[in-house]
Amino acid sequence: MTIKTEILTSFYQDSVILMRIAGQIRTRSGVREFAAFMGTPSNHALLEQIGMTTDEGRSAEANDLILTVDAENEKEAEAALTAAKERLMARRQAIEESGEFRPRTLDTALRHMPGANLVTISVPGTYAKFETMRALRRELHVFLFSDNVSLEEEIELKQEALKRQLLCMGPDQGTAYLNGIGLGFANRVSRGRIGCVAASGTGLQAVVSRLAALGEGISHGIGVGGRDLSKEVAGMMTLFAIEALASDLGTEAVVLISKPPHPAILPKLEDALEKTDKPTVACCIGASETKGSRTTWVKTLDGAADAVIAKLNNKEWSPAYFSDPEGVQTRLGRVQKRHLPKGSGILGLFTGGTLAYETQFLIEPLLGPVRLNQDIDTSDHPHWIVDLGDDVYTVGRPHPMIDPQVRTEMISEAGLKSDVGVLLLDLVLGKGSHPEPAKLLVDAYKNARCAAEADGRQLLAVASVIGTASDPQSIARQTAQLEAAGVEVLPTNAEAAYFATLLIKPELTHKLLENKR
Amino acid sequence: MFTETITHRNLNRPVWFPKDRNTIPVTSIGEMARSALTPGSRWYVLAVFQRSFYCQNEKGLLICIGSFSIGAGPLNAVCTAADTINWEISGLWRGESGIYDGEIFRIGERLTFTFECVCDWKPKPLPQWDKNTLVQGLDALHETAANYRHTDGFNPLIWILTKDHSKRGGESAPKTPLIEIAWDGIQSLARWLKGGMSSHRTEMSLPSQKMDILIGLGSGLTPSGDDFLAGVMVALHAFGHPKMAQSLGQYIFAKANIRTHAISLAHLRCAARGVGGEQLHTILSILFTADTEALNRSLNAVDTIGHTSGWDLLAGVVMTCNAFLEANLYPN
Repeated sequence: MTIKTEILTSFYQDSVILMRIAGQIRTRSGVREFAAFMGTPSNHALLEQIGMTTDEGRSAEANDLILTVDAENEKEAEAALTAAKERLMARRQAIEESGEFRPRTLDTALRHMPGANLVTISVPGTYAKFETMRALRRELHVFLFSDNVSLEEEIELKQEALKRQLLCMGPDQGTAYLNGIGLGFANRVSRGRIGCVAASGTGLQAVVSRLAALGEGISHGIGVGGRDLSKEVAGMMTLFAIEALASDLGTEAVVLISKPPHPAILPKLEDALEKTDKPTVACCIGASETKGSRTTWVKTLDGAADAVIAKLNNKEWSPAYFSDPEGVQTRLGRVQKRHLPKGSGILGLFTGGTLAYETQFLIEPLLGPVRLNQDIDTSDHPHWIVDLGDDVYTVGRPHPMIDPQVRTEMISEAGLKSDVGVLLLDLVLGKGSHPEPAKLLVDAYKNARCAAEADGRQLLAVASVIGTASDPQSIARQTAQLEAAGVEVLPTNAEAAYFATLLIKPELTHKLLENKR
Repeated sequence: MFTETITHRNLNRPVWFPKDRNTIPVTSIGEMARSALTPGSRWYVLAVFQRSFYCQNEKGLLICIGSFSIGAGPLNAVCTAADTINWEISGLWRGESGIYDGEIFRIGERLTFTFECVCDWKPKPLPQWDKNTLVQGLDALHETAANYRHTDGFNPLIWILTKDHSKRGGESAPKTPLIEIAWDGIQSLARWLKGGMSSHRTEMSLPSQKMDILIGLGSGLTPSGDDFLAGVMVALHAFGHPKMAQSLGQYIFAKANIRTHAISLAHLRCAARGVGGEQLHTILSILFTADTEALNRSLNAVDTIGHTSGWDLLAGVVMTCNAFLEANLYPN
């Protein structure tokens, strides 16, 4: 017999809930009795009388909740207490997920959650402006997942938001993190000291996942929508978000992630970053670096994560093509035995728009022109990059991170295209993404490779996985599946792009492995 | 759920911030809650439950806010929020601060309650009753409560205490661990009640220390022992013995700071003034007037007060009824 106690300090819970949980715990195998009482002296006496008191339990005061279990052994007792605590703590989440109440309108939802200050809007683009404006007028910050919202509508919404000092995170914003809570497609990362402002969902995911891999967490990741730094929108939300993170006590450094800002916006952006009084890193993919600025401008998403950590730790940082050049050399030796026909090209099929754009930006200077998001005709041009999350591919169907069917079909077809030598892929994990994306991708790749080999050709595949160890899909499990199928998995999207480049153009090996970008 | 930065910004909103955002009217308020809500008083959220939440002010006074489903009570501010609202997921957090400016009670960043159309709630006075109707009421309770018997809290006491009340004495305690440990205290309190109700002395003797075990005893937000004592004190007022209730209250309060917690103590303070929840006063009226038709409906309501709180309160009432009848029918 083992008696164990757990005290929850200053913890009130209504009796109906406590009794229900106690009843559930008592039915566990190995549990003889379970009690949940406030730590009043009379309850101590009662626990003493029924033989369920412990030294730890005696220290509980009247405002504390005592959980006490009598179990067959230490292990069962510990497990029962853990289960009781989890049930108490997880109850709120369970209520939220149980679908006990599903409001059909924003106003009904607000009547049931009057303290809410943020709404996620994911309705067809046609209705997105109406719903977003309604939310803003009710003083709610908005995470606007919807795409197909016109530029004029976006401007109107952001002006309204700014007037009310609210965030309008979108449209077409796939990811955000506020106070550690991920919105949209979000990887499981811990809270930390680095704040992000992102005009890109997958860009934000890539940076926070890299930060997580390096042991850092984020304070907030404020999404602003992909067009925020256009001339028309003029960076309204980006500037507002930078200002917010600058004054946030939990944020020690700020990272900006976006496509290149319009030249007219760039001075305002630089000015806002300068004013933060915190270490700042900007990754505006495709933008030229600004010299003489306190902000560190980087070219790649992984570079943004590496640079901000270096800045926080007062260390020097310089960009490199590969984090492990020797490992890459070994890998190349193995893969290059499978000779590609001369003139083979890269076909990049991406679910993350920013990852696609980053790839084009990185490989174009090394391989020559790369076509992005156009009807694929590899006979006309060797290298193609497709962002399958683009509006063109998502009208009337789920995003490819949720339903990868469009991509798996295109991968299978790639086996029939004689000009394609390397498939370049991303795999984005996290909440909202497909539960087992690697399996589908592997099946499609095997089909494509068989088709190519039947035609006497080689079809190589290179990928990067954006995710963390805590993600529901598990980055280790997904990576292992890809590698088992012969896919070369590199640690970042940039490294995958450079590796694919070396497979197409081995003469660049010396330059890239010298490792100075 | 938002950044500290944004919260800071929202608290310093410019003038265009609409004052009545998410404003919920309070329609009924108990006298203890009313007296605690002084203009300029500062509050914090002490506990949040599914159907209600408690706030505490700088003086340690409590108010309980909820929709109609919580019913009226001395600490309760009943508002027009939907009955299906779950405050635990309403965006309200324990520890959030609040302020009452004399018109509006603002909690946290977004939640405000107005008191423009509020009615003060007080329990209705007891209707005409006599010893005979009370005896009939207890008989009816004995029969009807049989349908609600279980072993949690002080529920078994209802059966024991109403059993053949005209020939009481000598009953043994039901063998639940809670009642076993409480039994000496219950008997001691019963003797004190009978003595006090038969003597009509102006100075009350103090209850025996054996009664201390009841304070803070048992499970639940308001422990069974506290509910039992609250039932006793409200019933003492009903029988016209407010001084006994106050005397018992003073005895409890002297010990309650360490023997029970803040929320339960606040309910005990109300009970010492003769005020409990609306449902408790309803069943008192039914019991005293032997309104047998209403009894079953009322016991349904009692059964929904906490896990066992309704039965614990009623057990305290019934024990006081017994003491009254013994003191008046068999004073010697």
